Amino acid sequence: MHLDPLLGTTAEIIEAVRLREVSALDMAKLAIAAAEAVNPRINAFTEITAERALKEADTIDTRIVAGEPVRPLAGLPYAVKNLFDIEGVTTRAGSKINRDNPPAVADAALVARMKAAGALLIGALNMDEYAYGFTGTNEHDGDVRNPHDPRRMTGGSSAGAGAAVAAGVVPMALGSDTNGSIRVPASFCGTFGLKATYGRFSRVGAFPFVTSFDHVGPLARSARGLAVIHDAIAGFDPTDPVSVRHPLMSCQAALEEGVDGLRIAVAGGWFRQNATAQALAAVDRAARTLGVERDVELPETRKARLAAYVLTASEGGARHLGRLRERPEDFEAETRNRLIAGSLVPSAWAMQAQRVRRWYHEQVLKIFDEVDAVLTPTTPFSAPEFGTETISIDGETLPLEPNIGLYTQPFSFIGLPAVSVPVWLEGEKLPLGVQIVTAPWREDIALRIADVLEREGVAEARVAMME
Amino acid sequence: MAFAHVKLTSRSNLGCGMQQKHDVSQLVEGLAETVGITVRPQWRDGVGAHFEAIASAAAEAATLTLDEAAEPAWHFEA
Repeated sequence: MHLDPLLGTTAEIIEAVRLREVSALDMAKLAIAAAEAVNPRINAFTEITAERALKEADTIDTRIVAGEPVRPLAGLPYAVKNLFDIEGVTTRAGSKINRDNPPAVADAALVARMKAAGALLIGALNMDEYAYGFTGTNEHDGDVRNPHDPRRMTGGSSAGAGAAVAAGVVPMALGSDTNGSIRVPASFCGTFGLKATYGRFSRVGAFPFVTSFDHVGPLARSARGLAVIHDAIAGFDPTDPVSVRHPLMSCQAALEEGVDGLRIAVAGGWFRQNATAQALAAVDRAARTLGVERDVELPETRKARLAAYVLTASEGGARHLGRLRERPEDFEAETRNRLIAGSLVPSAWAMQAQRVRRWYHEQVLKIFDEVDAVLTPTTPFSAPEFGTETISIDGETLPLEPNIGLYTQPFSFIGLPAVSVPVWLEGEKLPLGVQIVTAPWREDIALRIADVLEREGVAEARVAMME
Repeated sequence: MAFAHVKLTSRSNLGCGMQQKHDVSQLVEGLAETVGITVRPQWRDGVGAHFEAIASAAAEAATLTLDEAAEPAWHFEA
């Protein structure tokens, strides 16, 4: 266990509470104090739910003292992106408009599962407005700042989740990922992040953006932490229309298998273009460690990504049509303009994009007949400074924000599981994510690879040393 | 270029074979009015730029050759 209990990993904290080396109440108090101390510098939290956390902790400690079976996440502090319903708290979804809604009457499904598993909710986390962004900027609640360098972006839209975990306030957080919104902040903030198979985690009570793309899931400071959370909260939910009753396996148990026998490849083509040398070096370092010698190419990924862009705009615009009619001035200007444009998309464009989607899904699944996992960069570059509008790669100047999700969007488009692991290249002061993508329902394989990279010292979620 | 932004001009192809009859800001304003959204003058350029980007993306996505019978990726299950 780390000298500071809060800086332990998810698995270490749970073990320490189970062995009564530290109480759940102490863990809650430490996390609340850390959130209050650090938040003025990183702006990760929009709400600190201290009263609830202390109450949950007291319940856990009482049960442990009474000798009741210890729950799988007992005493684990965590926080959630503020699009998850928290009973008694208004769900902002990063917006000004939604804060006029009444407080949620019940927890979101995953928050309820975290509570049932014994975790302690410390607060709600800042995000891009309505999850439509990759930068972690927010005009209503202020920008989230990267704990490794507060002049830089966290990435989004689960910006506060990346920042809170990287700053050592909580060992894990829940975010959502429509086009990369778990994996991008994981890359920029240097945490592990899991976007599971579409339908694996219940989204009930999480404010939607593009429902046919929306995933929810954890960011954590270790691969094992992701596995522990997966095992505790994944599974079928009959109240989520896209939830799938698919057999669950223990990802924690799977970690013991290592990577022997796995067929792993590096993605070429699209996934080697428009990336900085550092992003490619991070992938190559992971590949060398794993003994990967094979490349694969995913066909027509550029067109797939453009189709995803059309559908995101169209579904997102349709989602917000009522608010665009009634309160357009209360959106951030950029969000409003994008959503209005999306609401005007002809159905023929969206229909063609859906046809491309099915075709691309079929082509990519064929690749997983040949390999078990594919490695790509998570983002083309590390966390940019605030105010950066373009990025220069290979002598070409590209607009920044549309290119942040180059490598994440193709996989949320077709619902495949992906884990982002943080890599620190020698001499670099910022982390970069390497994305591990597998066939549907094989989160266990992605986590096995992530765990080996962590044990080999290639992947590391450093806690930011904030002065 | 990783992400194309094609500037639409008068009578240019607006993706999927649709022909533009007006400049984009007029087109966007008319469509928005049809679905009940008011586009204020100061928003026109921003909305228009995003619509152009979507049109460009849709046009390129439409160049993927698919069978006539290729199904869209629906999630509805009966």
